[in-house]
Amino acid sequence: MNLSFEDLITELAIALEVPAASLTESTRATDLEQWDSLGHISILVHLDRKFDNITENCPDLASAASVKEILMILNEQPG
Amino acid sequence: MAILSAPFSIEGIGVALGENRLIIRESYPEFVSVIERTGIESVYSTDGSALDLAVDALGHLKSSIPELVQQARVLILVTQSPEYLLPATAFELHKRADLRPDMVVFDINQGCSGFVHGLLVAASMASMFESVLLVCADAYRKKLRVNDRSTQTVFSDGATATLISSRPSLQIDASENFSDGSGIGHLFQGKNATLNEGYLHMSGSDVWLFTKRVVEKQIRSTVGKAGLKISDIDDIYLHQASKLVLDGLKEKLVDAKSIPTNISDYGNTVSSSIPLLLSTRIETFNRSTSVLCGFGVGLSSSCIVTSPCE
Repeated sequence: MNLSFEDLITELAIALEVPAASLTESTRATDLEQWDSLGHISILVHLDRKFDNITENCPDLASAASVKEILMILNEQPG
Repeated sequence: MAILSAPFSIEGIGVALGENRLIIRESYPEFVSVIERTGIESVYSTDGSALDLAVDALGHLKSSIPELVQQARVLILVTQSPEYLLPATAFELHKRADLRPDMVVFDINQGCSGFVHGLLVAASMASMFESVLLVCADAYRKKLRVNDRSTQTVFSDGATATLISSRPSLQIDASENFSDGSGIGHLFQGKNATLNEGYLHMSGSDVWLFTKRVVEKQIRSTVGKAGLKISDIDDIYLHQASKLVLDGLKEKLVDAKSIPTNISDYGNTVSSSIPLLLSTRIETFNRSTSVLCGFGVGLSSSCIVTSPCE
C-alpha cells in the first residue's frame, strides 16, 4: 500500500468524526479526546470498510497509538 | 448429532437493573456523539452492590415461581463483583434469599461469556439435582473512571436469576469454547490501586478485534458440529457488547434468521445480557433451535446450540 499522510488523515478524521485539521502527522491517540478506546474501534471499522478487511492481516492496528504507527502498518501491506 | 446435555428447561428468569436509569443524552451530553457507535441510549446504575441486585432478581423469580425456586438444590452465582475474597458471594446470596440448606452453592468468576459457561454447568447439574438456580450479577459501573467515555456510555449494572430444571424441553447439541489468557491485559481490573488505579481497563480495539476474529467462526463451527446450518437456527442470542460489535457480527451472519438485540435500552449488562434477552422469550426459547454466544473478558468466547430434545 502506498498511502500518504494526507490520505490517512482524511480517513481518520471521518472515523473519529473530527475536522481533518485537528490531526497531523505527529498526532498520538492521547492528544485527542475522541481517539479513546471507542474512537479506536471506529478507526478499525472504517479502515476495514475502506481497505477490504485490512485488520484481518494487520492485528497490530488494534494497539497502534499514533497516526505515524497506523501509516507504517498500512504501508507495510502489499497493494 | 452429538448431544452434550441431559434434557432441561428454563422455567423462569427474574431481572433486576440498577435503580438509576441514566439516559445518555441527558446524563452525558458531552458524549452524545458516541450513541451512533454504541447503539446505547440508556444505562442502569446502582448505588448498592451486585449482590443487592442478585437478591432482587432472585426475589422477582421467587414471586413468579415460588415452589420451583424453593426446590432448587444448586445455586450458582456468576459475578466479577464479589463481596469477599472468601467465601463465595453465592453464600451471602443464599442467606439473604433464604434458600434451603441442602444446596450446592458456588461462584463462577466470569464476565460476558459467564451465562453460557454457567448454563453448561447448570444444564449438566440439573439431571442430578432436578433444578438449579443460575444467577448472573455485576455492578461494573463502580469500576469505571468517571470521564471514560468508552465505558461510562456502555456498561450497566444488573442481575438475572434463571431457574433451570430437568423437565425435558431442550438439549445442548454442541458447544465450543475459546480461552486466551494472553489477552488478560486487554480487559481487566486489578486487585488494588497499583494497576490502573484500581479502575477497569478495557482496550476496546483489542477486544473488538478478538471478537471479529473468533466469534463468527466459533458460531459457524458450533452450528456445524450440531449438524446444522446457520439458516436452520431460529434465534442467535449474542452478548450485547455494543452496536459496533453486534453490527459487525450481523454483517457476517447474513444467513441468520433472527439476532435479537436490546442494547439500546439496557446497555451492556455483562453476564446478564443473554438472560436479559431470553427473559421476554422463555416459551419461544424452550421450543426453538437457538445459538447462545457470550464473549469478552478473559479473553473468552463460549457458544452453544440448543434445540428441542428428541
